Amino acid sequence: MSRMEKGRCHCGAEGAVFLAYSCKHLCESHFIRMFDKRFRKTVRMNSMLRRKERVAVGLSGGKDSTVLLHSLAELQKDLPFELVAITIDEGIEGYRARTMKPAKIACENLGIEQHIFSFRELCGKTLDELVKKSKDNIPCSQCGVFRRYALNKAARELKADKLALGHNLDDMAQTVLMNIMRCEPSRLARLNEPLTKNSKLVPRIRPLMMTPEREIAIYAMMKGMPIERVECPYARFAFRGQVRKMLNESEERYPGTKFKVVGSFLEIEDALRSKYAKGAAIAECTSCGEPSSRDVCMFCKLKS
Amino acid sequence: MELVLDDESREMEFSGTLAELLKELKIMREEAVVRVNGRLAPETRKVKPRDRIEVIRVVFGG
Repeated sequence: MSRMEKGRCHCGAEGAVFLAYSCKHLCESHFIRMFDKRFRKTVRMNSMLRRKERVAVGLSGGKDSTVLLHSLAELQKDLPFELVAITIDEGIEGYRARTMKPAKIACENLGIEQHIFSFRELCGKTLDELVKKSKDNIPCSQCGVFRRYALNKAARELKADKLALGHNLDDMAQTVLMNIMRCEPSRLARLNEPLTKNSKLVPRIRPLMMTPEREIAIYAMMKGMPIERVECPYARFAFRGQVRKMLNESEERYPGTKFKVVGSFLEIEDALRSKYAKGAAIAECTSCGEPSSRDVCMFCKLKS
Repeated sequence: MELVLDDESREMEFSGTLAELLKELKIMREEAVVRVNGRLAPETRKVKPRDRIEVIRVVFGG
């Protein structure tokens, strides 16, 4: 009988996780080792961090950003850099308040400074109020614009060199497919990095971009991280939710699909960037002065 | 076996692997983590009659 049939890790211990895309069973200790190694490899291969940089982590208190914070704090033992956390309170009744608590606990446990910014402070309204006011907008796209705006502004105010986001492999694969399905290749070209530099845009890094979402959940459980398992009540409205379902079905039938989607994007990324770099410009919003590719940025447009 | 799903517990009879159990419950493997008798278990594991199986859904986002 093979190890796979027996469900054992290569070390002989009983398997805790089965990775269908590599047809491997791993025990808890080898899973954690593989996870940490992949995290560090992603950071190193993409030159995401440099010594003495100040890194702001977008921390919601959910599994992805909490694991990201812990893994970056662990990396600090070998690479000297500063860490600070930013939590955005969108103002979603019954949801955000529940994830704010574990975010606070994670920062306290790791001794990391946490800064909280709210949509209400930013534009005078909570997301719930904005959604009630606007019938045409899908809350997720509106929330995404506001959150990106808030995170960038907060990171810049905190003098961060980098803004670290908890986007995982599933998020990346979904974004790639969504941009293809919406026929927006120019957005795909600037997925990892803006096409032109702007001093007001804090560069973003995604150290979990090669880590499947399910493995982040498993890692958080193994490490006993305090995470609130609550889903955003608006998630069901999003196109992303449909794409997520489609990708998960494909992954189940054809393990490795998500790695292949993201891998294919990374292969053609340079070609896409060359094609769309011409004419790409980031100016400043005439209303708020924040970076924008239009006269009035999406934040100001949606706010009004 | 005892099945705990969405904080509700119930007894059920099942013969097969955890992957087959998830299929029966119409839960995608990618969207769940399974604990057997308090420990994480791979979906290739066979269900035993006295097992306590917890199916934990992977929450989207965060």
